[in-house]
Amino acid sequence: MKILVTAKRVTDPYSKIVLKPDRSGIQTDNVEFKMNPFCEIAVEEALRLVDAAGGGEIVVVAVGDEEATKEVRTALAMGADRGYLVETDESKLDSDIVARLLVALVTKENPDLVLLGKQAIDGDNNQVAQLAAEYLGWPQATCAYRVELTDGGKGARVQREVDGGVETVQVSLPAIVTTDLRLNEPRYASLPGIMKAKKKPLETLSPADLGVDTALKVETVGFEPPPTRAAGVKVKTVDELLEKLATEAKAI
Amino acid sequence: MADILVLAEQQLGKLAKASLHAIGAAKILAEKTGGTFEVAVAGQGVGGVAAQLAGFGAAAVIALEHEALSQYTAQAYAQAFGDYAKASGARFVVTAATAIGKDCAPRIAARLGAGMAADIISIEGSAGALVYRRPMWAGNVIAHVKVNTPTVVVSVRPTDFPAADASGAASPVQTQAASVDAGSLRMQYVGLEKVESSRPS
Repeated sequence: MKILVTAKRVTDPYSKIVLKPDRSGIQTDNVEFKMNPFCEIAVEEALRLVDAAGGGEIVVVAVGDEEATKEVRTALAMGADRGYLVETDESKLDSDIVARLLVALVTKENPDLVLLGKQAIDGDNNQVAQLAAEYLGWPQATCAYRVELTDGGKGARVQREVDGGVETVQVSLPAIVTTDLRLNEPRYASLPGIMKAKKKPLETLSPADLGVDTALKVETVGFEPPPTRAAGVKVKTVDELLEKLATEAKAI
Repeated sequence: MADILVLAEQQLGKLAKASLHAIGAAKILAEKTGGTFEVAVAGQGVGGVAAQLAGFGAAAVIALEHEALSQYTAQAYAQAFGDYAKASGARFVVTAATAIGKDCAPRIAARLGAGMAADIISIEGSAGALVYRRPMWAGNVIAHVKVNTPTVVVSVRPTDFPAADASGAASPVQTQAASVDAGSLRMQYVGLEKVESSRPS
């Protein structure tokens, strides 16, 4: 079983994210970077599925600047076999470019399954997997809560987190699956794993190498801080509360 | 033929409330672009849901029918809605950022060669220079994005757009066969386990 999995380098989810005073981007001085938590879950799931299938190969892909190599090495240290860095200027990417880069690698590698995080905690776009699945004409199962291989590895039964519950879908492989928080708890890379990772193959490619046009379909033209919280209001009666909830907060 | 297409959602013949907020967003877009909007709903036997959508000011309500749409799957919905959007010449495709919207809207965008602005909280600017505001870093930053493609897909955060009220004249309701290539579908809906909650819906 061959699985292609992504690993995005993002700001540490526990870092405080604040815009620069000129609003040209976020302040990165005291910010740590690490693998997107949903991608960590994807790498972990790839390891578990290959194990359950009795063996296979896991290829990890990062798209970003040279620093993103660290995230590929982390995935290799967790147990992935080979890695790619598609080196690009991160400020000039959109979900669609990333999806098409992924499609080029899928065409090259021919995996049975592609696993991604449902979204990256910086962009929160939640688009790459679905875009890639449509370009490939493949079935998808996003926001996976549980993944089981079926039909001797020819299919997968995925339970998905949806509004108000859990939906089960059956996909035939090859397919794209994205991970949600409850899918698994990723392992830490062991020291022997970290040492082995240094020798595992890691190839750097450019979008041109993969024949992918990098013109932006979606472009960020500015940033603003979130709206400041208004002060709380005290009410005297339940009726007043209900009225405010309905008309001002529009919560009911 | 309208330039804005709203994708409405139904589950077991019941219209999703979030879809009314998507119509609200389409109205804002229509005002800015001087255009009109249609609402489409997909499924099998969804004439009743389509009829429910007839009072919101749409130029037309379209029920896209196919056996393969009797349950939701991303592949089938992307084909049905995407191909209708293409055939109707829609320049904007609007859906609510619900589980279904988030799951299939990017596929529709890919199918149309369109850029997609996801989970938007407002539409700013004027025709030809529209800017969409959307949260990043879990809402710690609000980004302003523009979409450079001739066709644009947006998913809207329901709480940030008003629900349209049923005050318009009755829109014409049309039913047509959805363009779904059943042979290309490699996924099946198996079931849904609802989490019972005592909170009001």
